[in-house]
Amino acid sequence: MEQSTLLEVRDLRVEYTSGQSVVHALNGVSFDLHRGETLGLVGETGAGKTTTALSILRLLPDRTGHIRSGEIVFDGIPLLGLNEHAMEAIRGARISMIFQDPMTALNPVIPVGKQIEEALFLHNTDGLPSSALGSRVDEILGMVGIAPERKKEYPHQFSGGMKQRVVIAMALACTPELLIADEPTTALDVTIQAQVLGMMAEFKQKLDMSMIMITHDLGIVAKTCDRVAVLYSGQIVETGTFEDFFVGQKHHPYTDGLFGSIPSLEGEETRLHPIEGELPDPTALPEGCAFHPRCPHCTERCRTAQPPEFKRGTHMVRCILFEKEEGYREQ
Amino acid sequence: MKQTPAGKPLPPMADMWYRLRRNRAAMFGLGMIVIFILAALAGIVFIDDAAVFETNPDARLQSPSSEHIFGTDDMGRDLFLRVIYGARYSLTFGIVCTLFSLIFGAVLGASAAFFGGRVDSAITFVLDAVICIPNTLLSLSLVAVLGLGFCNLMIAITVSSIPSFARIIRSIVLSVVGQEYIEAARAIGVSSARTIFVHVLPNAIGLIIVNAAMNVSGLIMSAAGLSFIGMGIQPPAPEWGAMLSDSLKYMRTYPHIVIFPGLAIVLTALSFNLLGDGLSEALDPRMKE
Amino acid sequence: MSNSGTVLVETIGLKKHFPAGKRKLHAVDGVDLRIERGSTLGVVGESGCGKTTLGRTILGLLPATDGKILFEGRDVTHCDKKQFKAMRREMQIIFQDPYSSINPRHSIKKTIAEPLLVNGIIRDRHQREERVRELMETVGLARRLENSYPHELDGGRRQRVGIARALAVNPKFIVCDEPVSALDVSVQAQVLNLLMDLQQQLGLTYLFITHDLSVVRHISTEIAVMYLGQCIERGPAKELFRSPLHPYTRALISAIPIPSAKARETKTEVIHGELTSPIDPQPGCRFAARCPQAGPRCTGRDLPLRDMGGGRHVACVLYGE
Repeated sequence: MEQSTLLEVRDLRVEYTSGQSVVHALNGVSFDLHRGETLGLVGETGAGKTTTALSILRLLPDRTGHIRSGEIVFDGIPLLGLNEHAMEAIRGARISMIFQDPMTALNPVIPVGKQIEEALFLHNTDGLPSSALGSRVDEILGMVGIAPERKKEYPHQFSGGMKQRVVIAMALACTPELLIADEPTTALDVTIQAQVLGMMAEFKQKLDMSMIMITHDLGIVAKTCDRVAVLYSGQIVETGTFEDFFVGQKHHPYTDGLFGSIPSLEGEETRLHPIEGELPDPTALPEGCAFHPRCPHCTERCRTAQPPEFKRGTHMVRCILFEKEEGYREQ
Repeated sequence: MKQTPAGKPLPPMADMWYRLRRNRAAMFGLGMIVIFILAALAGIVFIDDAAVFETNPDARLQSPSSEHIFGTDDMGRDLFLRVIYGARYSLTFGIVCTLFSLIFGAVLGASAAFFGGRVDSAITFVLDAVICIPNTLLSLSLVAVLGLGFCNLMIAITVSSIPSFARIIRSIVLSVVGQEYIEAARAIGVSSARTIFVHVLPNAIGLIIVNAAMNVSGLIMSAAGLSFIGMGIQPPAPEWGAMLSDSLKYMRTYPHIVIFPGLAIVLTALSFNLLGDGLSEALDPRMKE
Repeated sequence: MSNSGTVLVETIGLKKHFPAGKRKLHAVDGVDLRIERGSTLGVVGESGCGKTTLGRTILGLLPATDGKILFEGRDVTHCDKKQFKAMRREMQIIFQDPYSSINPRHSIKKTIAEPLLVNGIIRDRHQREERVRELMETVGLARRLENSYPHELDGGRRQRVGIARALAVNPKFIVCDEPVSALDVSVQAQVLNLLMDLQQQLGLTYLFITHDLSVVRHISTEIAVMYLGQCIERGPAKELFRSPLHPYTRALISAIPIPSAKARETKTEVIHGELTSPIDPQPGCRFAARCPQAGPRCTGRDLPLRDMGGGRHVACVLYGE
């Protein structure tokens, strides 16, 4: 199937500086997102998931975060070259983001309806009259399963799951082409999570959106994503389709470790197989492969040289173990 | 993003001092305070009461000169010596009264926050009732009841500043008590007293010190204010507020008599404020580098 | 059920209500549990179901409103100060948040030594330090960290400090209150393994509170599912997952996103609505408002936990009668 690319990220490098120390948050992240596709961005704390999202929206904290190099092209527009005014026209209108914590993403002193209306108003390019904005708010609230009568209520009158629906309604208000969801259900209970994930999948279809789903939960990835990219210490160590990940048996040792860390819902095993050690200090990344201090297959070469990418079809792995693997070729 | 704190940890106070040292305004404040304290001590040791209290009609209202660097007042007393001599009053009021209101405020506020429930309700109720009376009015009435005098003034000022202090300490302690490690302490069998002194207070002390430093300047001002309206230290004692009120009638003709004591009040108060500001910045974990 | 000699902790009709204005918030509303020596009872439920309050109440950190708590057959529901203190050596707790549950001003050594000191277990300072090193080794903390401060440690190591502190008094029973939910997946697995190893070595009994269903299945011998302050289903872990009885348990289990290719095929049984208010609830099944199979029999009276045989219990009108 021929797919057109909506978003292209090339060799993105981002650093945070604070005082003397430099945090290497992203160290050459590249990926593509096709139209209508959901890409899962998987990783643990500090892997650079949120930094990637904030870089795309150009929302990195001004004083500390710096994009050192790389390119982000959205629908043919190089985002990093845009001025702030042009970026504002894209942010919220064509690319929206849902944050992890619905409790803090809403302004507590403004009724939710007004907050959605504001999002519409800011990007009211068609010059709709304000009465039309009001009915659009009703429509959007209806879509996320909230009775339009509740638009006059304040955020504290909503439960966590309902708040996240409001946040999603705001993100969807301008029918964006790309939705970046940063751990959208981590703060929610599992039954509510199921409701929200179901709703998001429905909207993706209905509005013909593309989505980047940032999560640490491989279960959510399996449920929602067409393609997956695994981040470790600011590098993508493996990308592939849903099948490459969940049907295919060959993975990067880190991905294997992630799978081994999750208790199964069916098996009888008594011990988990976690990755030993801890996440590396982002101010002093190890030489060579960033994963080598925790890798059970670590060789001398891993300690000194950055591993190249090995690719077979849609599957890419950044690990020298795949040198000898059949069908994988160095890029 | 999250940063890993680098370097070896310093004990809390040393850490605070390290960061305070890099704050120029705070160091200026601290420097001034040290100078004032040294001056007050020097005054106690070197200045004769005679030089400060005895009038000298021949040398009335002299402008600053090499002999009298701040000039002389309407009774011919050397202003420089009087201002230095007066430092002891203001600093004692500021520091000693703060210390006492800190102790009482800490006991009240900390027990309200720590024990909660009825203890909290009762203490808060009384504090609220007292806070309703304007500070100055409260100290004035206390002085009126107790009578004039150095000690009575101190009591009046201390008592009137306890309630606000207790409330601040209550909220500081409340935020610490809400932390899970306090519950953890209970779970491992730590007694209430040990919990307060080992777990709660060390984590609250920084903020309490900040508030105390700010409080000192307020108390210096109110002591000066009370003396100014004649309810505090009585002339001829060279309390800065009293000196101001004494010399008001010469303000237009001999402004130096007003300027020097006024400047002394402003500078001490400002120094404590700058130090307090610096401390609160040094304490704020978000300012950590 | 087996005889009471092997039961370490038991609650009978345990209730904990909090005042909410003039009304009452029923955080725990009549819970019967039995935890066998050396086993793990997993308590699972969504936020607001009362599982954390349950743990705190059993430990005596919160006074119970009604009901009984038995520890080794002794009634420990209403402890005086002395009894409370004595119980600290029997039962301990591991907290959810490794960041806020350790005093930031204390070194690791001081934190782990505190229970030994305040309970007068080891009075000699050198022996105490020796024991701290031993405990650090038990939980897998490098000895060089003993003089470190909590902010220098990552979440996994801090949680190990919390575990070492709980183990210091040699307790028989530990309440683990979401001990891994603040940790990253790879670290979470390490801590789960550690907890299971410790249970084996030291013969510990756990009450494991969590909202994570795959974790609870992995670690528990028995599972109790809670909904709005009540235990609605209880049974051996693997069986409960294989054939959940209560409609809520079924919905809960089907809502877990499974990290495998099967995730696409299995249809999630989405239940609608959200938790109703725990303030002055009406008698009857608390889940009835959201239950797809609710009928008139579900309301009006509280449903008892019915013995279904094989150690399984369920409180639902669909079973029995």
